[in-house]
Amino acid sequence: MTTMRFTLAAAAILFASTAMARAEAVKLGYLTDTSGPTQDISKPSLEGFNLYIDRINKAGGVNGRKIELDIRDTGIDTARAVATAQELVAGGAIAIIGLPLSTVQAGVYAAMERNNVPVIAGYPSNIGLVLPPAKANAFATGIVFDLAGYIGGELSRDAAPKGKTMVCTSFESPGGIVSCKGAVAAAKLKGFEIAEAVMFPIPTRDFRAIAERITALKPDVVLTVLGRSRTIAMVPALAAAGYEGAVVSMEAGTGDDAVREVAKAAPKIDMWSYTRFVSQGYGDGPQVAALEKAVKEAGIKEWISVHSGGWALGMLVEDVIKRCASPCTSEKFQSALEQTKMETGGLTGAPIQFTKDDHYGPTTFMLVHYDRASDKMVPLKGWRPYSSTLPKF
Amino acid sequence: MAWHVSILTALATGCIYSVMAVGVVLIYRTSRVLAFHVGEIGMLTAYILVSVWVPGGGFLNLGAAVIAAFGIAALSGVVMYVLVERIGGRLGHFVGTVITIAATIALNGLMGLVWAAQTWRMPLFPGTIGFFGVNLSIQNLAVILIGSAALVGIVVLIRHTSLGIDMQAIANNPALARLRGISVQKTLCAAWMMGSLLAALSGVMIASVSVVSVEGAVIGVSAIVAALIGGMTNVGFAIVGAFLLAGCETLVTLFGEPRFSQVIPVLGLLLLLVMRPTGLASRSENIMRV
Repeated sequence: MTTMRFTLAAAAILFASTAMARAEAVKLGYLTDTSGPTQDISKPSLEGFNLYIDRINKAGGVNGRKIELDIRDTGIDTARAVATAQELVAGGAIAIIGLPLSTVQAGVYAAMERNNVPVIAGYPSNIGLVLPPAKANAFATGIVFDLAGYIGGELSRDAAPKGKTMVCTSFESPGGIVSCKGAVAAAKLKGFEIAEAVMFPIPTRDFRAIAERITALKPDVVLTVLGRSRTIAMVPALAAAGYEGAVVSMEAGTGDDAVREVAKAAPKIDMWSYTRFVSQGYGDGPQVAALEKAVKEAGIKEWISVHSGGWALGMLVEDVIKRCASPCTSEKFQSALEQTKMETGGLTGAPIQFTKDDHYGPTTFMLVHYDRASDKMVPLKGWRPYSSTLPKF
Repeated sequence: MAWHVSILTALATGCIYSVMAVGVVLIYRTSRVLAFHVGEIGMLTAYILVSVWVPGGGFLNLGAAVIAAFGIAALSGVVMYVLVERIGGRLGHFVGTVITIAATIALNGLMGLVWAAQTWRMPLFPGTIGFFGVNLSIQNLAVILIGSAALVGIVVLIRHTSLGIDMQAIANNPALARLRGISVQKTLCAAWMMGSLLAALSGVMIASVSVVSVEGAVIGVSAIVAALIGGMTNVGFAIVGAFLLAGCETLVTLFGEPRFSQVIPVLGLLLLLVMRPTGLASRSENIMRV
């Protein structure tokens, strides 16, 4: 009889503790594109995020609370992403994170605002809704095109110190348009006599004619806001069209491996890239070392900036949950987000900072140059600080 | 503006569109089915080629890789023939066209699954050659040479071989062709295979001047537009349509607004179809006899 009572009591304790643990888990919805056209960018970001969250959960969670992820593939379909986000919230997710492409992000931000659910876009393609004055529930850790375009225009001067003509090229997405608009304005302020944007339709895959058009403008530097697949196609096309100046590639999921590959295919082009997050081969700090170790264990051949962006998003989630009293609700999560100041351990040049009005924070970018002799990307002048408030242009 | 470079680019693009457009017309004339999946067949072939070829991490030399990739393209033609003609044939041409749309979706999914939508370069014919002091892209020259050879070959095949004449007979009157003892099903199967092989060649050519990517399959739309400009009934006019389209796209990109490079040719097509509903060929499919 005593044994039976003891067994029942043990079972009750076990059941209660399991139930408590379940109640304590913080559930997050993660939207991504693992089957569509941006999966080459989305997957590394998810890999970096998952590696960090796995590490946290294996160590017992955040203050004993496990992070429960519901990862959904929504491609780059805005309607599907919005419907899935609503489904995730109905299923108990207190925040939505991840999000591929700027077009998807706008819809999800708007839909989740009606639900009072915070959204953190971690991909390198956020739109300006997070800059001051930020939309109530919209947060971002990736790059913001409005800002990154402007910075690219400024950094073009470093790639062509005596240059007179700068061309920004991108495809006709909202991010591409605002990037080149900012880049042209910044380039003119930096002393370029001619600064032009050459935009092309989104479905374009054959860049020979576009490259010939750009080359005909005789630019000293070409700023590319293209992402991975278009960079791989565009730079050799520029070389074939006879261009021999500098190309500055915005690190928006391009990857240093792709930049090195195209640099080899275009030996007369001087390749540059600029980034908010470090990639394999440069940067140091405790989190860079931790990421390096984790990707090695996971068998990833080379980690790129979107891996470190995903890892930093994981760090942010951990940091916010630490400050979100149990039970962590959407309101508490958002309130904690708005008081964020998190060191990234070398992944970025400045802490990730959010306030009530600024959901992106001051940022830093690093200009990196392809060194042909060593076949490596070499940082130039280290991190450069930028405000999250865009200049008027 | 280096006009010689631009002319070469336009000619190479015209060749690429022509080869695929001829495949579209060949399938349409024999099966009355609009082959929406040709772009995907082209990119699938390019992916296979770059995957099995040594520079892309494969294990075959170029010759063997080409044979393997085009062998699979031919096989896909047979599969499409079975799906459209043997299984869907009884349900009409509209169902056949729907099957090609379904194939488009399935092949896109397959490429996403197998190659994770990665973008690869296809290092075929790199570099430039000097010609009277002018640097010309070897890629463009190779595409023009190979594309022209393929087009001449297909025209010879259609006009001067028994298979081509059988195809013409089926295109004109399938029932009469059957009565005259032509093996309609075998000829249709050959037409689908040839359509796939032409799509494959076009896909590999566009990949060589651009990249191998799932989105590259959009070339199928250009080929269909070229075939429509030509009137869908004539290989020669499809080639003319392809060169008009390529020339128009290149001109708009170089001298106009590049953002409209793909819109203006389609607007031109709409205008053409309003003024001349049968396309350049001026040949109607249904001939009324009184």
